[in-house]
Amino acid sequence: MKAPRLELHMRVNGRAVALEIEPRELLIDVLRNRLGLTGTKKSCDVEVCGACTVLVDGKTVSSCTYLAFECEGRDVQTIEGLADGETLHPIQQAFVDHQGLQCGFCTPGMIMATKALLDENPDPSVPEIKAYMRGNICRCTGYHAIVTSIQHAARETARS
Amino acid sequence: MRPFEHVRCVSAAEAVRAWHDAGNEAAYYAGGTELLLLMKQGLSRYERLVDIKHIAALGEIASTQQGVVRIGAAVTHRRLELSPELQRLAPLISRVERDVANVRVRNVGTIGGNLCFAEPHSDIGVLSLLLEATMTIQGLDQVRRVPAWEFFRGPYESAVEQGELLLHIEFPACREGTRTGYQRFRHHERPSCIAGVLLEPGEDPGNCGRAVVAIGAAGYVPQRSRSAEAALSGRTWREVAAGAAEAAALTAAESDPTEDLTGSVEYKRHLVEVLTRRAVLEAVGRMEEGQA
Ligand SMILES: Cc1cc2nc3c(=O)[nH]c(=O)nc-3n(C[C@H](O)[C@H](O)[C@H](O)COP(=O)(O)OP(=O)(O)OC[C@H]3O[C@@H](n4cnc5c(N)ncnc54)[C@H](O)[C@@H]3O)c2cc1C
Repeated sequence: MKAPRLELHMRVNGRAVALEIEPRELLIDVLRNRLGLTGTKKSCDVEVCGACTVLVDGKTVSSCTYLAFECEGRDVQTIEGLADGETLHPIQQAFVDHQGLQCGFCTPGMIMATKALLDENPDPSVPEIKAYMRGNICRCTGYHAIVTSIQHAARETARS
Repeated sequence: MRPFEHVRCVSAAEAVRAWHDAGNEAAYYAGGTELLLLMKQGLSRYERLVDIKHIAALGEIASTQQGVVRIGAAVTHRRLELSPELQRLAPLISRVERDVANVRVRNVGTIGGNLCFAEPHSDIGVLSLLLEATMTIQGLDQVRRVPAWEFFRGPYESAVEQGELLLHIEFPACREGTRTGYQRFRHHERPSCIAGVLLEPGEDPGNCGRAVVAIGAAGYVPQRSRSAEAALSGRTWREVAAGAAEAAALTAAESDPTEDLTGSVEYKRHLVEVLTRRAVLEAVGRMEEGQA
């Protein structure tokens, strides 16, 4: 079948983007290959690991299994949109300060999930953090340092 | 993924027509959390995806005066988890939804997609048997209603025929004082075994008038245990608690587990027994604490 094409207009990290895509194009491929935003990682490719987590209108999605056309008229946030120039976002800084990462591959997803969690629930308890983050897998740190980072991030975000 | 065309529909009739116009080469597309996995792996190919998320009626959560809760097929898990109305009217659904999949799948995946895919490890399958739900399905020239106990035909096979569209799921009101227990065990993303128990007070509120016991993920389809239900009904609450182990053993004996990645037949039968016993005790415990 001849590939149909469509126009996609969305905001990515606050910037308006317009491009022509095919319906079958996945959000992760549009972000990484067309827009050069390679911070978002492809890992399990089956919505389990969370490395590809981005926010669409503030909600977490697995960009590996999400069609790009769904973002028409919507706001997409990726890890690249968090820092303010050279100044890290409080969540990023908390992960650095509290060793919430080692190899860093899961980190963009961890941080985007944390962003959605704190936007929804600015002062989560440890069980609430664990329940929300259950779908983000890290193979190096163990999860203690990540939970600690998120608790500190919540405090910092509340302050700023 | 192979190329396909995307057709966005705003009414159920339009969607069913759009499916048939593509002559067996189409699929309904809701959240895509299952469908896209298959398409990415090349296990399924479609020329056309019929997008049903923009059909207003499929996105509604409504309740009738009789207390029936009607959930549109395209309502996401996340909405069911967070809906204050549902937390009040059918608290078990919200409670279970908190643990379904992960938050990303819950943000996008729908209750209808879960039921139509009929994946054996579904929580919604167990919930619909436990709460005695009814599904409403639209075809080209008829709308029909199917009770949950007739809905699940086999692994990945439901009563929704090719080209039919699931419109909504209705959950009847629970009698005042009804209590539920719901236990699941998981070490993979999807549960290895699920047991749900519903206890309804009888004419004499000191007695269990009616019990429903439903299990899932153990076998190909969710299942009710009539023998356990009979053993728990008509007993005092104290007898129900004391009879939890017996009911669990009956459920395990009646269950039909299948071996899969989450365990052997023997292991799953064991899980059925342990989780059913815990679910009975959980429901009785909630009764004592006055929680739903
Ligand atoms: C990582 C992971 C973990 C999960 N864990 C759990 C869990 O713990 N418990 C649980 O219960 N489930 C679990 N699931 C399943 C999840 O609930 C489903 O993926 C989701 O609900 C499917 O909905 P969807 O809208 O994305 O369906 P889609 O992928 O859009 O559709 C699924 C199938 O149903 C058909 N379809 C969809 N809607 C309709 C309709 N209205 N009428 C007719 N046909 C229709 C489609 O054509 C397709 O064949 C998990 C899934 C994943 C990926």
